Amino acid sequence: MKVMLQLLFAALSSSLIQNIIFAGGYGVSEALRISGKPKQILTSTGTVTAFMTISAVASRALDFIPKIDALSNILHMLIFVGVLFVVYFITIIIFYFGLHAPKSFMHLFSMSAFNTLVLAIPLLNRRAAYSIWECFGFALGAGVAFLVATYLINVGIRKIEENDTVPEAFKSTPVLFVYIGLLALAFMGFSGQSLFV
Amino acid sequence: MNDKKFSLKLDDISKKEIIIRGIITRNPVLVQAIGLCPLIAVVTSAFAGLIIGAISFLILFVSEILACLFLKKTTRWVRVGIYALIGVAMIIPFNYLIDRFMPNTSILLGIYVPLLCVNSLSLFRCEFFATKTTKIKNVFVDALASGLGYLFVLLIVGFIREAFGNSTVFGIYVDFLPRANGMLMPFAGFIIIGFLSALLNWIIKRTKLESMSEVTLAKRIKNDDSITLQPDVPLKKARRKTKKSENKAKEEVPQVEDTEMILVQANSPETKENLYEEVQIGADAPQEPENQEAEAVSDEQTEKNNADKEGEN
Repeated sequence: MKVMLQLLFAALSSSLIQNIIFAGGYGVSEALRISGKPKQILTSTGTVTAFMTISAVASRALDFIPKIDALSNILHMLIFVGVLFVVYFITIIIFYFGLHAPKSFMHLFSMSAFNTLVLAIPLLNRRAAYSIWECFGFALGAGVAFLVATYLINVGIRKIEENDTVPEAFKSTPVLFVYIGLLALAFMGFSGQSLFV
Repeated sequence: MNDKKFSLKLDDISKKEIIIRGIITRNPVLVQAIGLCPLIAVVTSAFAGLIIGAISFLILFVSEILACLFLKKTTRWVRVGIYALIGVAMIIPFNYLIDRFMPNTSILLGIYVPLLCVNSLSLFRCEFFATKTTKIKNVFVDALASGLGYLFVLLIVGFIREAFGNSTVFGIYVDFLPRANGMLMPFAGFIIIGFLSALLNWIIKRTKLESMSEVTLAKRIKNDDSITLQPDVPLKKARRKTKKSENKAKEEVPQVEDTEMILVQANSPETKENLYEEVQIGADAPQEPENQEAEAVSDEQTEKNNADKEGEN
């Protein structure tokens, strides 16, 4: 029960209370890129979440080895990147050489594996000194946050396209940035921070 | 239209055009929306913007040149991993120097400096420019222009957020500036770059630079076959559209063999050679048979009218 609560709280924290995309800006470029392709939202989110969860849990498991835990932050980052590479190349071997997946799928993997969101999760886990279950929940929650972000941005893109009242200078990218800013402001409401001194 | 006319001849773009595109018309942040992660979260002062911008610039520069020299024939999913490795190799010394000589800045920037190794800026520029061109000079100029374009935006955003969020300019307190905590939060970052992007749009549309914007180039490409451009999204769409229109045109124009079969089935008395001639004329002027029928109908009517008139007489 305690483990489940830990997992749930970590997931809620990264997906809603502090939506990691809107509050931290992690993977926001990737979310913007994917949100323009509605058919890829689910597959891309799935691959990003899978890479994130596996690499985060594996990296955190390595931290429990005392010799690794005693290393400096820079070396830890190297270890996290190393773990990400191992996970990536195992995935490539399984899908490309084993399942003969098409090249478009391999491109999707490459874009999903190497982005700021996937690398940020192990670093944040270490900072917060999460347990393995909390790491798992945090990564899953980040996946949900990514899905929510891409879906909301996609809805925004469609609504903005329909709206003729947008001023000429704000059309396309500028109004989208303002829209994401307002979404970020809305999600900030969950954290209870004050705006003005 | 031949597909070769749309081939990706990035070498043909002039250096001046690359510079203007990198800094203004295709600015990495304000137009292409890449490299947003550190900008939104951690660039809350001009100094932080300068540090992040300088590191990103160097990573982009080295990655693009290495990508152009060695990675053109490598598969894309291997290339992307190599960009990350180049980023890591570049980040380690910078991270060490910041930790050692600027401990306060290191605390301020947090995990965002290590994350620059997988920044989408270098990934996208390497993937869509450096590996698509043969001229190393063009890559050099593109890295310079895109890096500077990114650095300028980071500096401006950092300056605005620092001035209105902390009432300071490069760390110096300015008492007449208002102070709003919200400017230091991520949502303000998005809104500020939204307004900066709108300002850039406004400037582009009111200057001659609009001729270098992607939409105008996509229009020009339809009229001028000599123009060859970077493989950005609007051009791909334009290419798809022209391909579709070509296919439609092919479908609409009657094929010689098909029409020949139809005419043969209609038990036409003409020989095969005459048929070809008729089909070709028919393809050029498809309304002729209808006109002939209309003429025949009008002749019949005039004859009837004449007969009626004669009867009346």
